[in-house]
Amino acid sequence: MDLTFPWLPRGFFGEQGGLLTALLIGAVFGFALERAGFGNGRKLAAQFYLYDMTVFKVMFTAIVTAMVGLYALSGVGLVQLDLVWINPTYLAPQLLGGFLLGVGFIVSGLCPGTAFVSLVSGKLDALVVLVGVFLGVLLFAFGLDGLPALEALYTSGSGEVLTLPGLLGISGSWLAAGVALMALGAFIGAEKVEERMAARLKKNGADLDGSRVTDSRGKYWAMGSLLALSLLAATAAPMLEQENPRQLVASGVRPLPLAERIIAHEPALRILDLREAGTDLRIPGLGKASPTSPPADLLPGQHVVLIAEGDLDAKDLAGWPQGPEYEVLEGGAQAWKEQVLTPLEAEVYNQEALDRAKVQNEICAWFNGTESKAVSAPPPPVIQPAVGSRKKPKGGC
Amino acid sequence: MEATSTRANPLVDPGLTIWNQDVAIYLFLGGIVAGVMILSGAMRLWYKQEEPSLALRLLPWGNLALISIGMFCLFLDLENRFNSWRFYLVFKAYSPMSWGAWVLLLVYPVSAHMAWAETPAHWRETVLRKVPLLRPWGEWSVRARRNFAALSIVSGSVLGIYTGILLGAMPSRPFWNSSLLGPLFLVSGVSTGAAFMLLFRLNQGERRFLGFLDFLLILAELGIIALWIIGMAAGGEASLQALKLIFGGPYTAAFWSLVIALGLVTPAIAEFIEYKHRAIPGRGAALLVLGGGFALRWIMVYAGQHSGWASEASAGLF
Repeated sequence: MDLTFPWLPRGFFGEQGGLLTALLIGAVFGFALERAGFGNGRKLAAQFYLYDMTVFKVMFTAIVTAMVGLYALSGVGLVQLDLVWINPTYLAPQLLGGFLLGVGFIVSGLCPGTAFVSLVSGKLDALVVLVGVFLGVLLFAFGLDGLPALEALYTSGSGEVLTLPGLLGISGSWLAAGVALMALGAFIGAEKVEERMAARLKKNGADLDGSRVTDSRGKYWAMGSLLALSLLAATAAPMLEQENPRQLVASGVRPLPLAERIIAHEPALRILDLREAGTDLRIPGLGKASPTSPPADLLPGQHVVLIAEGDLDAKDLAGWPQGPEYEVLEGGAQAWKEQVLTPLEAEVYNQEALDRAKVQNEICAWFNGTESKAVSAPPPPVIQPAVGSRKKPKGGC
Repeated sequence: MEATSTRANPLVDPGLTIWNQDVAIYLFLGGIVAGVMILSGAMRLWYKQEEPSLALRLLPWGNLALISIGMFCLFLDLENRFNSWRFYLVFKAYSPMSWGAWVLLLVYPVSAHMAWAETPAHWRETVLRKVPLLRPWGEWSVRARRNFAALSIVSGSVLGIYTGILLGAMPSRPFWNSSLLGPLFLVSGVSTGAAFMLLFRLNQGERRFLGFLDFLLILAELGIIALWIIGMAAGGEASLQALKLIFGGPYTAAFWSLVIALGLVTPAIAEFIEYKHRAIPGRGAALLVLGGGFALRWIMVYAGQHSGWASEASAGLF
């Protein structure tokens, strides 16, 4: 869900809330696709015969809206673009995959998303398409295990995250404005093309199934507004950035919960000691850093816990990169030593206090090495970057 | 039963989970059978608008198949399978499980008589000509058709309600421990039964009647679920913790999406639209009701076993 709503704090919805939100968004998305006529395979096929460019116009509008929206929201500081996941680029397999998907589009008249829309509106050809999709996925998965050549193709390429702003060296907001302008031109061109093609097909006696859209000027107004918004974002963003430099957000974590997370080997947990001297914290895999020079290998998605001598202010971390989720140990190294490394004796004789003391003393024993596994405990695992790795994440339309 | 359901069984805490998908499948199929028994009996007695369709007349045969699959699942779930005949040596009036065992035994003859009596006359005659020994029974069955229809309604109701009471009678599981579970399972069973019947080729009038009835049943089911939730919310700490299983806990998304949104609200809207002659959702709405009914029982079985007085739920681990 962090990808869907990157402007809300991580974990705002929770896993369950995220799933429910996905259902809501999916229902609205499906409704919009159905109302746009995308549940009808003929509509998509008409796109390739160029007499009905609705699909092109809707998809391009969606891309431009999302692009301008993201840069506009980023410009006013509501979205952190560096938290948005971007698929790494593997040029050859992605070109081949795109080509195959395109062939599937023309043959079936549906893409995986519209196939579901089509199926729930009662069209059984969509069921055949979806069975084909699942069989294809299954074949590919078996092929990946059995055919080394397929695996070599699948992992070929740099796997870098390539973006147009990065490649062209211009600001994303200006690029969005350029794309919005291009879309406006493309729409005018598309209207001309579909008028010509429809006229030609009708001349040859074809039944066009009434799929031509009615002429309306509203779309030009919409695209013009998007263009204006993107230009505004492009010019306003740098000024806002100057006025309100981004502050690092770091939440606090208490020593005992942190100790439990270390013992549980929480994945992606990374703990950094910001003190100049001292190796007395007995934390397996503890890294060193200084407030002014963060490590170069911090990654988005990591949970980075910072330990100073006492409390730490997020303002001290001005130069640290956005992306990882930062936490600051409340009370710093001193609190760690007092609450985790020092055995506790319950002062009050009641069961609850005794139970608490028991838990704390077990944790204390783990870190002080009185249990053998404390010595041999592996350091907390550090997540590896997906870029350049052999297995790459899957995703798509 | 009493002793083992009130935590005297040392395995109940901290997390005894002994019921799995077999029980969920049985509860689902039992609900459908109860629904079809009640509805086919009621339609025989009171629905006189037109000649019943062939599908409606043959549906009681389906009951025998479905209840057999359900009972096979129940058999698979048993620890000491070959001792199950001992259920039929006693009848314990205070044990829902004993009631269930005997009701299941009643369902077979009632459904078989119903099915035979509803079968078209020329088919019956073909069978009786081949097996003349059956003729006295066969003809008596048809004469007593209305009595069997009434018996079908009664035994279907007991079958539908007992599955809920079976769960509701366990104080060790706060998620189940509500007297509303009986009516909930009964209404849900009749609703899934109606949906199951709608999958077949019924007359226009039967479709319309069952579709609108299903719409009303779904509204009733939503009401009972609301009352069940209110009951838990107004209960003690264990009930509140059990409620968290579907309010933020691990079953939240499944319950609210599969049961409420897709299994109840969406088909209710679709059936209402169909009733108003605006559009014909076809069998889609019925399939959603069946999916929702199955999800309800699946979640009930699994979430219920997560709830307890000293389980993860009450320890506040999620």
